[in-house]
Amino acid sequence: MILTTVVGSYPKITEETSTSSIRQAIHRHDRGEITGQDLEKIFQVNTARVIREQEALGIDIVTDGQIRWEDIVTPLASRIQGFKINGLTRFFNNNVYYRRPVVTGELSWKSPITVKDYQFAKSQAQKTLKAVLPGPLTFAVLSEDTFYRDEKKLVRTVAGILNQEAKALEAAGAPIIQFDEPALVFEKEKWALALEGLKRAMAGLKVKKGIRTYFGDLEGILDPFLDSGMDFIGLDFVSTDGNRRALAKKKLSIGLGAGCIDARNTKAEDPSRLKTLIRELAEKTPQLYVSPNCGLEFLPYPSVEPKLKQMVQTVRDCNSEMKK
Amino acid sequence: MTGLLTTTVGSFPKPDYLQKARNDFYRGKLSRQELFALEQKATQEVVRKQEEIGLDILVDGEMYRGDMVTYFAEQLEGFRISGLVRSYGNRYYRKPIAVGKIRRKGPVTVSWFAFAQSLTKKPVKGMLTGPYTIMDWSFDEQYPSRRDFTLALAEVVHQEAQDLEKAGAKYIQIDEPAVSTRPEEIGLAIEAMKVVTNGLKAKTITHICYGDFRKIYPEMLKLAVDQIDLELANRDFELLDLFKETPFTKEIGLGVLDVHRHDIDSKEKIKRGIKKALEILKPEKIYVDPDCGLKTRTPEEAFAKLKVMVEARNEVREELEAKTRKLAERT
Repeated sequence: MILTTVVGSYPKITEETSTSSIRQAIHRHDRGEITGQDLEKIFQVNTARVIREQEALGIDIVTDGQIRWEDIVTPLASRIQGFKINGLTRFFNNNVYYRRPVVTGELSWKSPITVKDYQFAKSQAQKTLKAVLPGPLTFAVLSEDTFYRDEKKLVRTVAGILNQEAKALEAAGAPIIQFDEPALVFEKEKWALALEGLKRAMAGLKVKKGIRTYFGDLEGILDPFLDSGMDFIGLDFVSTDGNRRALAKKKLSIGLGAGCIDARNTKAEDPSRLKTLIRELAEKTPQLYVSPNCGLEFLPYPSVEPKLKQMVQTVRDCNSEMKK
Repeated sequence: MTGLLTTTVGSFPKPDYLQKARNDFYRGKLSRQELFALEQKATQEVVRKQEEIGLDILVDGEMYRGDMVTYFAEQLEGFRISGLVRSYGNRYYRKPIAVGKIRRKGPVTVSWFAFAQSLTKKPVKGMLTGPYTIMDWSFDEQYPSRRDFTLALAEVVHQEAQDLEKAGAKYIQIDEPAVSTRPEEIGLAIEAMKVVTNGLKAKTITHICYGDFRKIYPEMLKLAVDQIDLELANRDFELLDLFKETPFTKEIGLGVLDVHRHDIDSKEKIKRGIKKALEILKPEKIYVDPDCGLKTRTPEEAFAKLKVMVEARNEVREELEAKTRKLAERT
């Protein structure tokens, strides 16, 4: 059966301005009007809300929506010794900016970073809740290195740290751990280094583990990732046609996370094209996970529901056809 | 001497009273007319301030604009404005959505240009956002492809540029900060710019920022404009080395102020930047300006930075003139 999931992020705010708005709470916290505990409470309320919304829309594997995260690297970098957080930098090819972490000293992992948040989210979820971490190459590419001055060394070091975090998430009961590697689609020549990093980050994990790529394709570098021991690979089938070409005449032995819904545009998908794509991909893998092509935070809140509804309904239609 | 003219990239910080008025307007506590009157007052002040500082080419300061893309989208037919999307940190903006054919209901910026120009004898630069950037920073539910969307916008921006020229603009700047985002689409940006500047007699400029220029250079020299304006100060003028390898064939807008820093740039650094540019281009080909729009600074910071910039330019000019005099004396 085809399952549905999301990639990671979810819009942090709705259109309503209420006292539970994250936007207002952060403002008020910055101005010293509410405490860190008050802010934490708001994060919890909203984490619970986005999990409830995903479940109500029929998503099979949900996330915490990353509503505490400003981006995929700084939440971790700010709690890893050796990083400083610097000025705004463009987030890949989006009109979205993040604060760039700078490596200024030996990096070391002191204690679990995301585990408490994962545990809270899990307590709110009825469905399977996956944990999401940045991949080692992406972490390195989004950072500025003034310490090692050696990308290989940085990727390896970060991979070791991510491995410790992943193991802590596994111990906390995460059944699926996903590493996001969007950097791979922009820096294809670094595929071997990315793979080496991922193997290190995933070493010893017994839970389901895999990667997610988005904003582009892995055409030309896909094969080594397919038999590298990971349980699933996530690809973007909207931004380019490259992944579709790369999978032509191919059968995977691992799960395929398929980004079939455009999460960077508000336009609804062409229903027949979407169905054809899902049917085609279902033939290629023992387990297809249909999802948007990247995190949902690039969309305004009101656009998320129609997008996910269309996705879930199309997958249901495909599933019932396949039963016949 | 001529050359080394000073200018800015377009936006100035809004004074506190205007910021407050804009908030009040959105909350329905202030009428459109009341806001308009304050926008005019702020425009007058910012034009006067630019004259005082001694800039050569002025701008209207964009007191009436919010976001550089959403502002245009709000004035054009075919756009709807979406819900809030996060830009970074706790900052959100409303992103335009193309939901119908994009058309101009009438001139968008012309009356503001004319108003600003009426306040000064110095030339005021017309300021537009380029088609590629409007496309890249909008959602699109209307057009079959990014190219179709961009070219439709190019036609609209072209009409606006023509109207600015008719209204007397001698300089028209068409900002394309998004051009550096996707190097593989530089061809599309070039195609669209040809449409925008087609037949214009005014001096045309485009501003590009926030990206890896190495990936679009020298290709970006094909943009159909007279001048390309670049951020250079925030990378310590490193980019100029690239132009030593492959010549920069247009006029340059030389960004010499780091607009993302609160502190005032040192005169020595600015002079060093200008002199470095003079190694590869004639003074007539160099326009000295900040790296980017100044709207994220406080008014005090913005004006102090510009003042140092003009002083630095003046000193470089004097040094050049002294050199020429010496040469003349010898011969």
